[in-house]
Amino acid sequence: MMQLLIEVLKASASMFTVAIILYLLYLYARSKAPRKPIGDKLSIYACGESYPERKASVADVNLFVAVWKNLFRSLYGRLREGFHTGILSDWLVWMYVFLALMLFILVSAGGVP
Amino acid sequence: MQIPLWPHIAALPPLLGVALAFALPLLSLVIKERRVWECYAVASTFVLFVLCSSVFYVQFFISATPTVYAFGGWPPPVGIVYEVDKLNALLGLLVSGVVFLATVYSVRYMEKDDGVEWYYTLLLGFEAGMLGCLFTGDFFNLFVMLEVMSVSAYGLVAFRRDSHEAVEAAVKYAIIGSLATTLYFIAVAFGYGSFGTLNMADLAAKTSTSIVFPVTGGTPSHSGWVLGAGVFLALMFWAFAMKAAIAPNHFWLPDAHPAAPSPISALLSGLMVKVSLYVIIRFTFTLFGGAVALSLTLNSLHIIALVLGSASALIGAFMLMVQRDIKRLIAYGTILNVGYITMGLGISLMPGTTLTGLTAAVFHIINHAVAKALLFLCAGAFIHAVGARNLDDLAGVGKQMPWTAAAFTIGALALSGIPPLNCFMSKLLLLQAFLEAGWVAPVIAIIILTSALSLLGYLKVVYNVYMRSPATDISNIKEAPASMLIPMLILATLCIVLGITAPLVVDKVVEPAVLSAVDLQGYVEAAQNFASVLYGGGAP
Repeated sequence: MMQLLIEVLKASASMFTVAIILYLLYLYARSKAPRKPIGDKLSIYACGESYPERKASVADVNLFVAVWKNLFRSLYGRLREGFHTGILSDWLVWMYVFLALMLFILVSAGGVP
Repeated sequence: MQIPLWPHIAALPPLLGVALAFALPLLSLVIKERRVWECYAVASTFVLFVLCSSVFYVQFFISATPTVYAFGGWPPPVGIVYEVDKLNALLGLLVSGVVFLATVYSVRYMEKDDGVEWYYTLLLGFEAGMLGCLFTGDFFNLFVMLEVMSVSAYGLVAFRRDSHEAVEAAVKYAIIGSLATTLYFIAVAFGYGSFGTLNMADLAAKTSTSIVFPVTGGTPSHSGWVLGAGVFLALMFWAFAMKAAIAPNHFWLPDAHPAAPSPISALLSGLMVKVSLYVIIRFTFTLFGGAVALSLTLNSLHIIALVLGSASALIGAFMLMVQRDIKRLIAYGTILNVGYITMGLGISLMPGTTLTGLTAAVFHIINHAVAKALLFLCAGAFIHAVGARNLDDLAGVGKQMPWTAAAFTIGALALSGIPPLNCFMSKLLLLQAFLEAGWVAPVIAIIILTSALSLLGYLKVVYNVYMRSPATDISNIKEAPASMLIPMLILATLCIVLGITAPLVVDKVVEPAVLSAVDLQGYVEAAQNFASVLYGGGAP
């Protein structure tokens, strides 16, 4: 068991080292890139006319979670509200059914030897 | 080596906790200064932490046997005794340490609330109840301390009584909690009726050893107690399954834990459910672990624990992923992790298995307590700053509170099972336990699936607080004050340290605790030495 944990620590240390090296490479690459674009690079043209930057940029939220939010919104809502009503009596019946079942199983499993 | 005041120190933490709790309202009548009450609460929890550290030190480094303390000099099985071995000493240290950090955190967190003297009174009572449940060696006294713990918890959930949510949650919690304690009380009646004793060691002696305690006599015939013991085990397991929120008894937790002030949510989710799991371990592994006549009953219990643990993990993971309220999200994580721990207990109850499952369960109890307390404290810091619990309202707050957000991220990654953080190590041991038992595909699939779902859920929070643009102006929000930040940073550091030093912690702390949990003979003999006093054998 100890050996397993030690191996995991070694693997984690290796992954961490690789991640640090990659991050340093990224920082190096960033340092070589021009920091502030100038001139035409700042202007956005679409369909032959200039386009305001605010309209052209896509909100980061849409890049990351829009698919999840839109695709699963109704499913999430159904899960949240259907699976947890907050009404005690919705669950009490399950509590008692399982308790009765467990009592039956444990008592009959014991029996009188 | 002679320890001053030993063995009184082993009994002091719960008693002193109760005394300090009752003294605070009296003190508040004399000194009407909020700072004094706060200092009193912090100092009291620190003293309890020091006492529990001493108990831990003695049990792990000095004493080879459990320590028995007989109240009023009445030896077992007549008098009430506390019996402290490595397992409850370890959990006592965990409870007192996290409560101390939560109390320090509470000072600034509760600064806008009135009636904090009652808050700290209930908090001290809550801690005393938890420590009493851990240290007691008498299963009726366990019922009493369970009530002390539970009643304090109901009061703490309802502390912000101007909020309808808190009152409703507390009422629900009190109804379910009372049902659980009533079930346990009926279990006690069956236990006493079957064995004629309330002492835990005496009960274990009657089921599994040839050791005879005075007064209550020798082992009755199996036919006299097997049915009663089966009912006792079923009711006891169900009562503590309700307290620990094991499915299908989990439904009260997502309402109760988030409604409490955040430091209390941290204690309810981080510690109180673990105390209930400890009681299940104590009864099933120590007291009834050697009962041959109950082997079929315990086999059935292991399957029930596995099924309910798996159900808890699945329900917790799916519901965690879809939450929009940060505290409810973290609360569902508790149900998920309680499921893992129950699965570990279930696999260890299986005949022919090693103790890897129990080791994983105990290690996960510690790891989850630390990480869960951290998440609730961080969530509390966000809520304290923003005044809202919805993830949309917390958008971008991490940029204003970088330390809190970093601590939250560490806790979230730990609970999602990212190596080398602490919860990964205990989950790995759990997987190892299932591999050893040959239960590969279904259970491992559940653990991996639920870990992945919880990672998605926690990343949603991390993404919200770090990367999303705030919906409103949050430029006036500042980092949490030092007294709130330091407990969070300590817990975050513990998440990393417990992970990196896992081989050492498991070897030196967790495994000895697990071995003492299954050392039936040692547990019984320690109490029997005290019982010999009744024979006129002199002071122990």
